[in-house]
Amino acid sequence: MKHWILPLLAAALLPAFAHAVRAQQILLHDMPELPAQDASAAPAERLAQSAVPRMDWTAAAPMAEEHADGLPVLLPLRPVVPQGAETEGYRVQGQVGEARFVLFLPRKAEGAELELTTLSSINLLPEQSKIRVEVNGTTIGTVIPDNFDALGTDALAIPGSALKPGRNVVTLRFQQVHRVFCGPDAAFDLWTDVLLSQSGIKVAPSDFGADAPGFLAAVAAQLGRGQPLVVAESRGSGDVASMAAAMARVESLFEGLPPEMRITDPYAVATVPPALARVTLLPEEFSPPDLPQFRRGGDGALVLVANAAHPEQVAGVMLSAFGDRHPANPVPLLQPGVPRSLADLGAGRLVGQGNYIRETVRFQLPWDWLVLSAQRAELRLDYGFDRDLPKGALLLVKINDATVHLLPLDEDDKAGQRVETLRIPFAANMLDPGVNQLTFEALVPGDAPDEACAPRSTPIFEIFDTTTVEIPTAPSMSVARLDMVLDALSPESVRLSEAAADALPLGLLPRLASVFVGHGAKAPGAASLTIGVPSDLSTLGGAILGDATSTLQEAMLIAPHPEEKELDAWAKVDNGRWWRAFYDTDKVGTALRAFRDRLAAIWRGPQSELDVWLDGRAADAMLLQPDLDRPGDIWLILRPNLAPEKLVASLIDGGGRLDVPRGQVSLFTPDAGWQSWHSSKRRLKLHEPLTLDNARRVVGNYASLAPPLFIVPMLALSLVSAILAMGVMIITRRRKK
Amino acid sequence: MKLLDLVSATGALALAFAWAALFAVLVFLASVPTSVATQALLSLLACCLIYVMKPGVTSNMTLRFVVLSIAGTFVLRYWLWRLLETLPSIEDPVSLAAALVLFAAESFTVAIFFLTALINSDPVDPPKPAPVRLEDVPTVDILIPSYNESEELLAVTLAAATRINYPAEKKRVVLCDDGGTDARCNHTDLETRRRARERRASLQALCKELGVEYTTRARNERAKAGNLNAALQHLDGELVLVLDADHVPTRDFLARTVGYMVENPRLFLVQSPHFFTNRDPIERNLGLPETSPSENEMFYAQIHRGLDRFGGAFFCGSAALLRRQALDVVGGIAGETITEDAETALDIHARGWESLYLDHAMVAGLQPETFASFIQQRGRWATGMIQMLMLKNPIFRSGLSLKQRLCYLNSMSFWLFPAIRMIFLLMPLLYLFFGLEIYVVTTQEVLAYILPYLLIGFMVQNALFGSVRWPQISEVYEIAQTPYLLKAVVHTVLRPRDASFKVTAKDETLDHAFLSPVYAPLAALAALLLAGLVAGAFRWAAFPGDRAVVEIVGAWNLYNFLLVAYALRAVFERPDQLDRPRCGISSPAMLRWSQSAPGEDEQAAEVHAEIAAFTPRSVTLHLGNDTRSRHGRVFREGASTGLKVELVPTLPQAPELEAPLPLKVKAVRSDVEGTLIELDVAPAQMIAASRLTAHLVYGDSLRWHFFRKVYPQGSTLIAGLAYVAGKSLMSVPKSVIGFLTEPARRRREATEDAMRGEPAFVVAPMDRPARAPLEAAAVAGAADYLVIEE
Repeated sequence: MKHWILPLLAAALLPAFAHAVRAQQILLHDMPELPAQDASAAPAERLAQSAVPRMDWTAAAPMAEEHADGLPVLLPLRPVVPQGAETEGYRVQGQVGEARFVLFLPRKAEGAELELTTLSSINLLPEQSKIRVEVNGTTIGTVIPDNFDALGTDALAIPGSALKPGRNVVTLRFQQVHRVFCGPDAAFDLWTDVLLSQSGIKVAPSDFGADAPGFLAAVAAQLGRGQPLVVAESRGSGDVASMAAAMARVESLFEGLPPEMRITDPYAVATVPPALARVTLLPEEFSPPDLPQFRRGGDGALVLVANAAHPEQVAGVMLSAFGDRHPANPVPLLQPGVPRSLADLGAGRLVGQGNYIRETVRFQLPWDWLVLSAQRAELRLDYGFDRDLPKGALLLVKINDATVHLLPLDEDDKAGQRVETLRIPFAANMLDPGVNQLTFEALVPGDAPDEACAPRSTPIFEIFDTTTVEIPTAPSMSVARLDMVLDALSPESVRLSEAAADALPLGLLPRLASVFVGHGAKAPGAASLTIGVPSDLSTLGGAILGDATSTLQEAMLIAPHPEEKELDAWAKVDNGRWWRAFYDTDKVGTALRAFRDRLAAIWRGPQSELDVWLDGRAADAMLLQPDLDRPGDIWLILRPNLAPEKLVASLIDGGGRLDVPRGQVSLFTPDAGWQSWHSSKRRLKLHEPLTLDNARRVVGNYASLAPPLFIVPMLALSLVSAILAMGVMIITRRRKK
Repeated sequence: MKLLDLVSATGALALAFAWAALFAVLVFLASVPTSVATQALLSLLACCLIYVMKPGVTSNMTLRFVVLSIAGTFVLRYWLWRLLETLPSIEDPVSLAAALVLFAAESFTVAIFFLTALINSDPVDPPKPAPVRLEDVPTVDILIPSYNESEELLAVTLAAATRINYPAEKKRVVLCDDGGTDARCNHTDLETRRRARERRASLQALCKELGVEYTTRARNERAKAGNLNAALQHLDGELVLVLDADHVPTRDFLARTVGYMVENPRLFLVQSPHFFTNRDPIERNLGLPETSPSENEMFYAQIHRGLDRFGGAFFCGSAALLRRQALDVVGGIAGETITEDAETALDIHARGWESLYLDHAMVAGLQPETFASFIQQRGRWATGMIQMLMLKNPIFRSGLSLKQRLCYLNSMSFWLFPAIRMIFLLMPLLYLFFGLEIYVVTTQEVLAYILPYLLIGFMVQNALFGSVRWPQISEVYEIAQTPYLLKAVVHTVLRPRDASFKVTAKDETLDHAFLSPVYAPLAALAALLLAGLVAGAFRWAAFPGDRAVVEIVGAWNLYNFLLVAYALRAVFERPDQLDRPRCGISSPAMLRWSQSAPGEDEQAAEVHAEIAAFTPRSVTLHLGNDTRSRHGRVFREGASTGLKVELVPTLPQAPELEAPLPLKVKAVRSDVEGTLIELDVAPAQMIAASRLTAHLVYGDSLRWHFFRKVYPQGSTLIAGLAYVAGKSLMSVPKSVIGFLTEPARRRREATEDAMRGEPAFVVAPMDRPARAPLEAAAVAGAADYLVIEE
C-alpha cells in the first residue's frame, strides 16, 4: 500500500464535505473513522442539508460495531443455476434432485459448519427423506428435511480438508419420499426450499482479507443479505457505460446470478446494514497509479478502490486471482455427421431414480447448422431398466421436450439387462442451432399408489454412455434469430438507450452484460444489445415491428396473469390421440382452428400476424430483433420497475431451459418465461457456395421457411408442363389419311 | 402437306424439349426435402386443386392435363421421398429387404400411374370412314373358332354371322371346329372319340343348314391360334373377322369397320369392344348394382381409346377385323404365347402396320358364369401377357415406336398385379406379426405424404375412369383374383414357355347359390389379414411405445382386410336376376293356336303378343291383359301347358324371318301386368329359332350401346368409397354366416335328386319387359354403298 497517496486523496475529497454532514464515504483502511454520532442524524435533516442524496446512517454504526465486535458473517450459498433473487428460497422439487452452489471462502476455514435452512412440503415423509450434503465432492453429512411449518436450520460440521480458500462447491442431493402417495403425480408435491440467505458458512469478519478472495467473499456475503454491491462513481451513466464491460467480467466471477450493483455518487452510499464490501471508483485525476487496491473502510467494509478510467485493471486483478469464470454447465458442441456418444458429450451414464425422472443431456449445434426440412437424425439408445417395475412404467425419449419415442419399462423379458441397441430416428428439424436437449423422462406408477414408495436400492433405468446421437450434416446456413445474437454478444456490446439510462438503475447494465461474458466467439456476425424502456419502442422502426409498436407497448402495460401449469405427468403421454375426435368435440374444434390458423399464418402478412400473436399477451420484458437488415442489433425492453433477477436468470447459460428467447420477438414474464414469435419474413443466409451437392438441402431450407416460395413455383411449373405436354399431344395427333 | 408435317414435327420436337427441361426442374423440386408443414400445405393445395378440377377432366383436355400434371408432380415427389427418406438402415438387413420389396411394389404402381396418365391423357374416337361402294368392298372371311361350345350357342353366333350386312359374294362364314378334329375323332378314349364324332356331325349339319363353311384340322395344335391358322390356309379373303364362339355379332359389324380398312391400307386391325349379356361372377356375387359399369368397360371404353391414340390398339381375340395381308406377313396368328391375339398384334405392329380401335360394341358374348371359370379365364390372360413380357418384351422389340412400346408395356405389366397386390396385402403383416420396420415414417408424415398420395391416386382414377369404374372396385377385383393368379404369374415369370391354353367354359348354368369350390385361397387370405388385426390389437396393448406405428400399420391392414372381406363375397356363388336384362326385347308378334277349335277359321285363332325373350330353346311372350282370341280362346295357367302353338314375329325389316315358328307352351303366368307365356322350341326348330334370336336379340348394336353408355352410372369418389366401405363392413357377417351354413347346404344338395340346369345362353326370366328395341340396322343401301342405317 502506497500511503503517500492517501493524504492527497483525502485532500481532494474533503472539500466535497465542506458542509458539516459526514457521510459514510470512502474510508480507507488507515483513515480515521468519522464520528459515529454524525451518522445518527435524521435522514430528513440530511437531505435538507446536502445536495448529495440519501445518506442513511441509522443502522451503519451498530453494524459497524458488529463487524468490529467480530460477530460472524454468513457466507451464503450461491446457486450455480439461479432461480431468482439471492434471498429467495431455492426450491428442489421431486423425489430425487440435486442442487449445486458455490461458496467463496476468503481463507481456509477450520472447524467451519455448514448451516442449511430449509422448509419442506408437508407431504415429505421424513423417515425416508434426506438431503445429502457434499462439499467439494466430500460428503459431510445428511440432513433430514423435516421443517414443515417453519424454517429450520441444520448445521453440519465440515472437515477441515474439505474446504479451501476461494471457490468451493456445495452439492445437495435430495431424496424426498411422499408420506401418502407414490407415483409421478405425487412426485410433484415434494419440494424443499433452501433459504439461501440463511444457508452457508459463518466466518469471522476478520477473515475477509483485503485481497481479491476476501473481497469476493465479502461481496457474496453482502449479496446473500439482499444488499447490492455499491459502486461509488462520480461521473454518472456515461462512465458506467464505458466501465460496464469490465464490471460485467468481475460480476461473472460470482457465478450464478450476477450481483446486483448499485451505482451511486461517492457521497451517497446508503448502507443499511453496513456494507461488507463496496467499490469506489476514483476519477483518473485523483487516481494514484497503484490502483486498484483493497482497503478496509471505516465501517469495516472492504473497499475496492480503482481508477474509473481503467476499469479493466479491476477486472485484471480479480480475474488473475480467480481465473476465468466457471460456466455453470458447459454445453459440448456436437459435430453433425458423426455419431457422438453420451460419453463424448460429457454426460456419462445416466441413472434414473424415482417415480418421475427427468435426465437431460445438453449439446450444442453450430450456429450455421440449419435443417428446417424433415431430414432424419438418429439416436441409438443403449439402455436397461430394473426388474419388476410396476405395470405402465414408461420411458419417454424427448428431443427439446418433444417426445420422439416411448419405451415401456414393464417388459419382463427385457428387464434387468442391457437391452439391444434401439434405433430411434427423429426429425432433424426438431433441433435448433445452439443449445439442444435430449431428455429421458420416466413415469413409474406407484406399486401401491396410495402408499409411500418403498425404498428402492436399484435405479429405475440406466442410459449407458455408449448411447449415440447422429445429426445429419447441413449446408452452412443461418436464419435470423434472437438466441443466435444473444450468443454472439459480449459485455462490450451491451448498452443502455438514453431513455433507459434515465429510467433504469445503472447497475443493471453491467449485471446484464455479465451474462454474456465468455460469449461472442461462438456465434457468427456482429451483435449488439440495447437495453431500452417501452418508450423506445416507437423509435425502433424496422420491418418486423411495423404497425405493431403500439401493441407491443400495450403488452408491457398489461399485468401478466400466471397460467396454471399442467402438472399431470401422464397428460403428454397419451394425450392427443386421434380417436379423441370422436368424443372430445372441443379438442376437435381447437385442433381445426389451430390448423386453420396455421395455414392462414403461412399466407398472411407478418405484420398482422405479430398483432394477432400479441393479442392479450403481457410482458415484463421483451427481446426484439426489429430490423432484419441488421439482425445483429437487438433490443431488450424492460419495464422500469422490473425486478430483474428472474429475467437475468433466464438469460444465463446452463439454466437448462428450453424457453430461451428465439425468433424475432420474445416476451418474458417470470411465470411463463420466454414466449417467442417468429416472423415469416426471416431471411436465410447461405454461408457457402451453392453446389450440386448442397442444392437440394439449401432449397429445402428455403422451402421449409417460406412454403409459398416453394409451392407456388412448383404448381406453376406443373401448369406450364401441362400446357407444353398438351401442345405436344395436339401436334402429334394422328391425322386422317 | 409435307411442309405442314415438317412444321408440326419441328414444333412438337421443340415443345418436347421444353417440356423435358421443365420436367428436369420439376424432378429437382420434387426431390427437395422440406418440413412436414410445407409438405402438408402442398398436399392440401394439390388435393384441393385436383378435387375442384376433377369433374371436368373427362370433357376438358386442358383440365385433364393440368390435373395429371399436378398429380404427377405430387406422385413423383412422393416416390422420391420414399426413396430418399423412408427406407430403413442397411444395418437392419431383414427390415431393409422387406422395405425394398414394398418400395419396389410402390415403384411399380408409380410407374403404372405415369403410364396410365400418359395413355389416358388424350383418348380418341376415330371419325367415321368415307362410305365404300359395294363393288369396292373387300372380301371378308368370318372365322368362328370353337372347341367345346354347345350347338345352340354356336347356332346363334353362326346365324348372326351369316346375317351380317355385307354383300353375300364378298363374305364367307367359317366355323373352325377344334372339338371335332381328326385327332379327337380318333381318340383312344372311346367317350372322347364318340363325342367328337357326334359333335363334328351335328356341327357339319348345322353349318350346312346355315350356309356356313365347316372346317376342322388333323390335330389340336397351338390352340386357338393353330385353329385359326389352319382355317386361314384354305381361305383367301382380304379381311378376316374373328369372332369367339359366344360372341354374337350385330348386323352392322362390317358396315362400321370395313371402311377404315379401305381408307387406310396400312391398317391391319379394327378392334371393337367385347360386350357381355351376363354379368361376370365377381360383379354378380358382390351384389354390385346393375348401374355399376361392367369390369371390362374401363378397358374398352377408356384405356383402349387411349392406346389407340398412341398407335397401340391391339387385337383382343374377337370382335376384330384383321387384314389378311398383314397376317400373312407375320405367318398368321401368333402362337408362341397363349394370348395369341395381343402377340399377333405386337408382331404386326413391329412390322410397321397400324391399328385402330372403334368404341362401339358390335358383339355380345358371355362372361364365365362361375367364379372358378372366371379365375381360369383371367389366369390364362395373365399367363399369356406375362409370357409376352418375358418372351417378346416390347421394350426390346425392334420396329415398334416408343409410344407403342409403352402401350404394350402398360398392357402387359398390368398383369403383374397379383404380385404387387399381394405385397401390399402382406407387408403390414410383417410388422404386425414380426415387428419388421418396413417404413421409417412419422404420423405427421403419414398425414402429409402418404394419405394425400393415396387420395390423389383415388381422385385421378375417379377423374379418368369415374364413368366406367366405381372407386375401389378395381382393387376388389384385383384382390379377388390375386391369390389364384399369383402362382400363375410367378410360374410364368420363372418358366415363360411352360403354359397351356385352357378354354374358358361359357355355357355353364348357375341356378342356385353355393360356395365356390375354389374359395380356400381367398378365405385363407382374409383369415390371415384378420389375424393381422388381432396381432395389431395385441401389439398396441403390449407395446405402448409403438402405438403410433401400430395405428398406422393397423389402419393399413384394416383397409386391406375390408377390401379382402368384400372380395371374399365373390366365392359365394348366387344366381342373378337382372332388373333390366340385357337380352330382353320387345318385339311384336302373333301367337297362333296350331289346331283350331271346331267352328274357327284358321286365321282367327291368334292373339297379338310381344316377344320378351328369345333363345334357340325357349321363347317368352307377353300378352298384355287381352289374351283372348277373337273366338274366345285364352291361355290359362296350368290348362294350356303342353299346348302347341305357332309364333309369327312381325319383322318388316326382315320379312324372310316371318315364317311361323312351332312352339309348345311350357308355362303361363298371369298377373296385373298381363300374361307371360313361356314356350319351348322343338329341337327341330332350333336353327330357325337361332336365326330369330340372332336377329331379334343380337341384331342391333345400339342395344349394346345403351347398356354400355346410357344405362350405367358413374360414381363420385366419396359416394364410391362410402359404398365400398359399407359393403365391406356388411360382408364380414355375411361371409361368416355363409361359411357356417355351407355344410348344411351341401347336405341338402346331396339329397336332391334332380339336377337343375338351364343353358347359360338362356338368360334370366323376364320379370319385367325390356324397353322397346332400338331401331337400327345396317343394310346394304340403295345407293350401292355400304352404309349404316340408324
